Amino acid sequence: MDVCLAFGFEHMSHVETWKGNEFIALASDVSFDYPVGGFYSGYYAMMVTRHMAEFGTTVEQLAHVSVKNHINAYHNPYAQKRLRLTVEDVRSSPMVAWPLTRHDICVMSDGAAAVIFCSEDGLAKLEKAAGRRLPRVRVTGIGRGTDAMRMADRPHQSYEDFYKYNALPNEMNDDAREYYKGLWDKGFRYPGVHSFRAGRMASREAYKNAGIADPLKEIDFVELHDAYTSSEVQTYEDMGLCRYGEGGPFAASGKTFMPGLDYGLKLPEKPACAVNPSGGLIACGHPVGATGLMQAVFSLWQLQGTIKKHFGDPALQVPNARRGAIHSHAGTGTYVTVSIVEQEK
Amino acid sequence: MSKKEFPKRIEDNLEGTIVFSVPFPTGDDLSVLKQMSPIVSRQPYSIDYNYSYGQDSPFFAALANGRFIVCREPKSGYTYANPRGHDMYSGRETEWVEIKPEGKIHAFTVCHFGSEAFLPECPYVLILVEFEACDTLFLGRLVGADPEAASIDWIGKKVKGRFLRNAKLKPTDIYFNLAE
Repeated sequence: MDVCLAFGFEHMSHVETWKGNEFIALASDVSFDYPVGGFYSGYYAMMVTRHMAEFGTTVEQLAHVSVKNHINAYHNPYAQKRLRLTVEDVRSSPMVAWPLTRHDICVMSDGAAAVIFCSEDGLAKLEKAAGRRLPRVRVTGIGRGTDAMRMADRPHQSYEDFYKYNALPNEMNDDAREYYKGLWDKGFRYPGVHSFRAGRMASREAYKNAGIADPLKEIDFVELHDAYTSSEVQTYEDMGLCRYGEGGPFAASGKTFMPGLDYGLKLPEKPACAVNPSGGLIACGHPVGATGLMQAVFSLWQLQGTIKKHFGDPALQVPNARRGAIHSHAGTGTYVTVSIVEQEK
Repeated sequence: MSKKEFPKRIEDNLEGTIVFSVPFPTGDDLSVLKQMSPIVSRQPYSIDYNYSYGQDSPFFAALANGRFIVCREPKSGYTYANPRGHDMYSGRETEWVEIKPEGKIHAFTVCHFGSEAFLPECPYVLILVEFEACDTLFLGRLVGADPEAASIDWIGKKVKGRFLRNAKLKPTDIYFNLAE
């Protein structure tokens, strides 16, 4: 197979949000979670309270993700919610599942996305037929990870097993080992419900395939699964952009923000790796069957340098974007894929 | 062909979706139809579904009798708070073990909204319970705590299971109260 069209779509507006919540919850555990009153926002909110108790993460830190992604989306005409929010706006919006408010959570969406994958021969055929050549983007690494479907069943494994199975190359040093030993001494267990082992294993495999040793320094932007502000913070840690437990301060540090945009926030650090420059799921929308491909489309445009052309606004073009990561997440972190995409040299 | 006469007309009735005065161009120019917004109709939808608890059935039978059973892998002792026929590490068959449904709150949330089926119960409290005898957690409802007073301090508090007097064969046949 030399040319493959991948497309996805979803119509979620055909039912009220509450019925949609029900359908989505039925995609997870139906015997022991859903009948208790489970719905996804409730599941993720429980992850948040554990993250807060375990690491001292604050709701204001989570709200920084919402402010960032909604303001990014302000420059993206494909986004569903283009809002200029403040941390206060996020916290004062209606509570959905404590401590997550409406602005911490994505909405129901209709949407579609498509990309074309080609072998080198297939691309040559397409370029010949089109009579032109667009900037080429190569998929240099793919990883996937899984975990128990019910988050209650996820293990609480030891420090030794974490280092044996789950640690990333940038955690293989004395400083990181000492940090993690300190966490385990305080009662931290991995992955528990605060972390996504599937996201970590997907990242680990993708980085290995793409030859990435230090993701924060070697990846220019990430489009990741922020159905909740908290899942973006959890994913920073899973993808090794910061260490487990540091996601909250990292979210408010400024490192994941776009350069040159005014977020109305005092950010102590300069942008290092833009996360969800498109606005992510929380602002662009999360039409489930299309979401992963939507991330791929935005990543492709970043690497082709065509954000201005497609958005009619250059504000979201990541400067010198050479390498990006796409993180797609299913269930309550039951199945995660990470793909590394790069400009062809 | 049979010579029997059958009615050729479907009689109108007042069941299902009924619409009146649907707009449509009166002239010959039908090109405007390309600009027409989609028609959306609201329809009720329900099904009856026979759902089997399969090998998890003893768990619900225990709840109906005011008892709480969990699954233990006999060799390693790894214990699942939810029913699980086989251990996820060794693949070996687990055995049923009865425990006291007493533990502490590992994580929680207060649901101010929910799936449609649970909207009338909002706000309600979900907790993941840590049992001393188990290696995994158990999702349940916390009843009796003020949902408006949610606080991270709830994590670590002791809880005790209570059983519904009339079982409904749902995991909510057991719920939890604060023990302190």
